[in-house]
Amino acid sequence: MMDKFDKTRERFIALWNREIIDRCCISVTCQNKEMVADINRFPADIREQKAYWMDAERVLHRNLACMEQTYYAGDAFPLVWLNLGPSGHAGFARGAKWGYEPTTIWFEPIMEEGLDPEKIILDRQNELLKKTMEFAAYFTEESRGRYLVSMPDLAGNLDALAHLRGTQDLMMDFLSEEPEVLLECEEKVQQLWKEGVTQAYEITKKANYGGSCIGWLNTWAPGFHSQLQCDLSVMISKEIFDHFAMPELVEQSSYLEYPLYHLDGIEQIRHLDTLLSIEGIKMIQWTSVVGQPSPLKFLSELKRIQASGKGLLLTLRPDEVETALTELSSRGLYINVSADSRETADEVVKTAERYSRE
Amino acid sequence: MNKIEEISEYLQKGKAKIVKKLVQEALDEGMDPKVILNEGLLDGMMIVGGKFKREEVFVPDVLVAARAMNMGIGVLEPRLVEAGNEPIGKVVIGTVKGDLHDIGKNLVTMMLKGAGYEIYDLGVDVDAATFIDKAEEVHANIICMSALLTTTMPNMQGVIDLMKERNVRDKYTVMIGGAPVTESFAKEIGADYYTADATSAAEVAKKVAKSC
Repeated sequence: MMDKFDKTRERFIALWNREIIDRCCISVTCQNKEMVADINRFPADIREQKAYWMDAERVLHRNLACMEQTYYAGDAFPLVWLNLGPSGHAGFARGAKWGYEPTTIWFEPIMEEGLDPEKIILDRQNELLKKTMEFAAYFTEESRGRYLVSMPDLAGNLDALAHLRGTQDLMMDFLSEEPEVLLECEEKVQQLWKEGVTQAYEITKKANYGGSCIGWLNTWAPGFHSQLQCDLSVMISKEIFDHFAMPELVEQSSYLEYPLYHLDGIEQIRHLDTLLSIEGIKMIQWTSVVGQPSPLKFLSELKRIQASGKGLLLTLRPDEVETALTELSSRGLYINVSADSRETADEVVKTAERYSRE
Repeated sequence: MNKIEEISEYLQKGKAKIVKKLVQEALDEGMDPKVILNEGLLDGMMIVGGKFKREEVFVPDVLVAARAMNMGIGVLEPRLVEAGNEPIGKVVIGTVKGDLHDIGKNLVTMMLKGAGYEIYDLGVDVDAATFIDKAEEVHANIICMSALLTTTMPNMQGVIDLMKERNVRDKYTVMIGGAPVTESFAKEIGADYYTADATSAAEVAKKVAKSC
């Protein structure tokens, strides 16, 4: 499955350079969904639930089994996810608490009494930090050219702070009379983030042709690449976003070589101008969450992203690819598609070949 | 600006301590607690709800306003009980089984409280039987369900199915919401109302109360 990765790698390098080799980058996968659901079934036995998430061998076994049920077309490639909870760097703080759920690891607040920067201390002996790096090393060692290894899900300092404080309380903290305390807490969370992404990149790049990947987005970049986000920004004003989220994004986007911002839903459109003003962000991934219209209903915003010189990643249905390629430039454009059959998957790639344009 | 307008104004700004002080002063001046509640606190909260719907304010503003409303209600409560103030109805609310998200549910709770409902908040990860048992116990008018995950949305159907099984479906108005939830999903599972935001939920709930 990795035999065609050399060509794919060329296309990804071209993508980040906003060049086109032969067509735009496009990943199309087709999975046996029933089998994949069965493979990923969460154990009912509570004694097994921790191992489901924290046993590296079991996690790798599930990933490999899913790969066997997946057809990879275009630039899609086998990739092992390193997922120990969203904004998982919250869990690297001393005293962090978390629980195991069927689809995620869920963090519990440790600052219910109030924001306190002194409570956000990087704990290098912390189980979740050690486990994250153990996973990274194990997956890398076992890869042997069979798959690439994703960066861990360590995106979003404000999202991580929401785990540690409680989202509702953090929302009210935004309007408190001591905003500097919140900013101090964010700086402490930034240390957790830097520790996590730096260590993970140094370990996994050996499996990733010197680069790095974001698992759920099927991305690869030839250097230090990870996801930026602020999922809770769907709930806040532009003023709050600019004051509290922008500093984090500016710093992270200059720390990484290939930063990608995950724009989660149309409620974040009000922050788009701010995001486009951050020079370091190299690509924006536009997600329409379930129930929202297709990304292609927002062509003017998508064109603004392209006009700003940033790359654009879209997740589309097979029947939307032609329209996307007709309306948008293929420079810096990456499309992810999930197809119901191998035939459809191959057809989508042919569509990309036919309609890619300057 | 009179005292009632001041209460409403400071509530909208989320100034909880000032609202608490103004409510106490209003009571000390002999104002009717029902007037303070309805025209000061609840009207103020509905104004915030309207601004939220029009995206003039956002979640933090609604939360601090609700905190101020609750502080004011805390001062009023003993006097309201004495005066025999009745809620316009009762709502049982929760996030469905398997889902631990609660902000959306909490916003709806606050707005429904602002609309005059008595709320029974079951929290998150609530199974079907618990929704129905509580509704039966407190003689609720409305069952409100929230879900933020596509994987937990089907559990809303589970609650409605169990209501039918127990022959109590017609006793309650079922309202649903949450980021992935849609009008068509509500129709599909047989819910009575889908609302896209907390303010709309309060508006619909007020209509439901009038029709009871």
